[in-house]
Amino acid sequence: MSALEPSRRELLAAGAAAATGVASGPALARRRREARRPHVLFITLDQSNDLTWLDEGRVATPNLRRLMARGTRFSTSYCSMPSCSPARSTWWTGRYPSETGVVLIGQPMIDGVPDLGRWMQEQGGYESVYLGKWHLEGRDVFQSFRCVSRGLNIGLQGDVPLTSMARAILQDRSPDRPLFLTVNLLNPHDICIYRKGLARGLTPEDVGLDPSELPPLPPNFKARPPEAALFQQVKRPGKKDYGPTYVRMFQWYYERYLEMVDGAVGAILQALEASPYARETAVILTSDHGDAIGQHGLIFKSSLYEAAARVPLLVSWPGELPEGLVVDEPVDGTRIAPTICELAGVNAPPGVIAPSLMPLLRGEPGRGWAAAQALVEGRMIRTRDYKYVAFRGDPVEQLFHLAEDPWEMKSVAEEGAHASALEEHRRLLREWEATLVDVPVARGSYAEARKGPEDDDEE
Amino acid sequence: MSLPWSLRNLETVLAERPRPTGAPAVDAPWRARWTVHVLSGKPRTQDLLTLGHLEIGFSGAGDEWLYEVSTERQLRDAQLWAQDAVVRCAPPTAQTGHVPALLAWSLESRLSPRKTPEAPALVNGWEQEASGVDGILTCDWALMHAFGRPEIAEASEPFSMLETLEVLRSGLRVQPAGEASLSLGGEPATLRGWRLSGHGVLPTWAWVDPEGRLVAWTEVQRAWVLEAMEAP
Repeated sequence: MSALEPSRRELLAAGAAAATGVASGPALARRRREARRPHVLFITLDQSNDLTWLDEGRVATPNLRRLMARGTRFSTSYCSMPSCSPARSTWWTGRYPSETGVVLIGQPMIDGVPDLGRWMQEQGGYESVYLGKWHLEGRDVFQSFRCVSRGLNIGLQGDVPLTSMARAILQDRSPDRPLFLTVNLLNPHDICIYRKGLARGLTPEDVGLDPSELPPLPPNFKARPPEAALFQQVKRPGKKDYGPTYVRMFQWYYERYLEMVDGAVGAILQALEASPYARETAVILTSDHGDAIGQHGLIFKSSLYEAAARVPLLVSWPGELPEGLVVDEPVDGTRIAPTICELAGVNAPPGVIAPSLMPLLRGEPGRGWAAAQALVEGRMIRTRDYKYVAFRGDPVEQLFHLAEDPWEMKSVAEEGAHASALEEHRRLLREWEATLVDVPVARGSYAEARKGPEDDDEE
Repeated sequence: MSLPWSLRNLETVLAERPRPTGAPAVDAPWRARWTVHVLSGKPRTQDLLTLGHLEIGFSGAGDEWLYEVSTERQLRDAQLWAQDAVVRCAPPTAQTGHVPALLAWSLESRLSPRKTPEAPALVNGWEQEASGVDGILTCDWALMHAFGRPEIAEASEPFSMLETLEVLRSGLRVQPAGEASLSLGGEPATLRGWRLSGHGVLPTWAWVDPEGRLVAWTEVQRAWVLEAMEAP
């Protein structure tokens, strides 16, 4: 697609974006003389699991792979909570959901916690511009950012307009003020709409598919390690027993939605590359959470299994940051805000203790673990080789030796050979929890915190 | 015989909506308007949510076809995203994979408050020539036209498509999808179907009536339903 670019000739630039003018000559030179403070383009996907689950031969994501190639991929990256609003509250604050108050969809973010939109404006002099889904109660996106559009809650219909808006903003912006642009694309989240009613009873033949075209079932489709009672209550009520054909159809559609959003990412990157700021812009891409896509017999989110909790995380700034690097150190969503702040040359907001990702990009050692939360009561610790999951007050503990069991087929929590690892992860969990400044709702139960249906296909 | 799945959600709508009267001759100019609906899984007219409109005017002469396109989409917060485009295409031939091939286009997109579309908050526009893409390149608007034409029956080569001239979709194919009989504006009609598939698109069906009008363009979530067609 990039080859389409050279013949582009801009015709119009009007309205709010055009008022700022386009960089040229002296203005551009002045920018270059400044400290290397890049523009920051933060692209977020919705419900995209880690791309390495996908068969490259079956799913075409050339743009995401191009971004991987021109930047650094964090291969062991987790959302702070596999649920839209909680994970998003972490992006903007650098804190875990139990600290922002957004422990479930619908729970409001507490007052007094700085968010990245205003922080970048006030501390860094950035123009913070927002496009797309916000989905955070208790914090007005129009107060935190210059929100141009919140798009639409249907990715098919709303993501292309967002790419067009991003193009306008990237091409017509002021050279005198750094830009912090976030583009929140909705897909592959439309898989929720596919599931809602429309897919009921849908067969491959209905949509013109030969069953042989469907993806194979994931190897852990039938795996059922011991699970906490709350998790089973929320995620495994009897009605949600998905059959093999349903899961394979679900996967097939999920892959198409992912390809769709890949195209949108490509259009944004193309617009960036055509702008005068291509080499002055750091790009960060992630997703709020993944999707279980049939693994462990589950679909959608809210689970701390890999498919739903592990997310893509790509950081790219050509010429300034490593290209083609893969970092295996476990990281989580709290790391994004301090990273953006470090790129922007501003301190992270007070209370943010998560380290920036920049030392890892420089090849320095990390702290060795990442953490996540789920369903108010669930906690996860991920180290290089293991993942530990426990729910408050529930005797079931999960310990997966991911180095040998990447599909989480079997919990080794009860196995003597892994007893010391279990103890070590219990300790890490205690130590991590001791650092959290939890809001009261996070200390209560899932049932108390839940205001409405915590359904997986909520927006 | 039951309707194909792709028409089941639209059966009532197509039966109730007045059938457009304009019927263009092959290569003659036409102008058509489609309404974009969200499908809810309930095939009743009142359950359809309208998300926007698409209007295409076609004129063709010799080696060049011209499409004048206007679209609008409703977004959150009472915003409207509109596009106006002029698209030049090469007529379908074996060399273009039997779909109209993009030559050049100009596009202006605007984001406006729905109540004051004349006062856009953001405008973006450019013109561009199609070059540098390997293989055959078309756009969705020209493809919609192609389904009513005889050449489409030969379409088998994979092609790429610029969705609304903004986002590239690749590895697309068109295949025949049979016929379906249903009520169209209260009268019985038999539609001819085509299925579009490939990377970055949901399987999409084009249903064309005997006069060559694209009556419905539909996938699992959305449908474009023909509202009007003028063929002077």
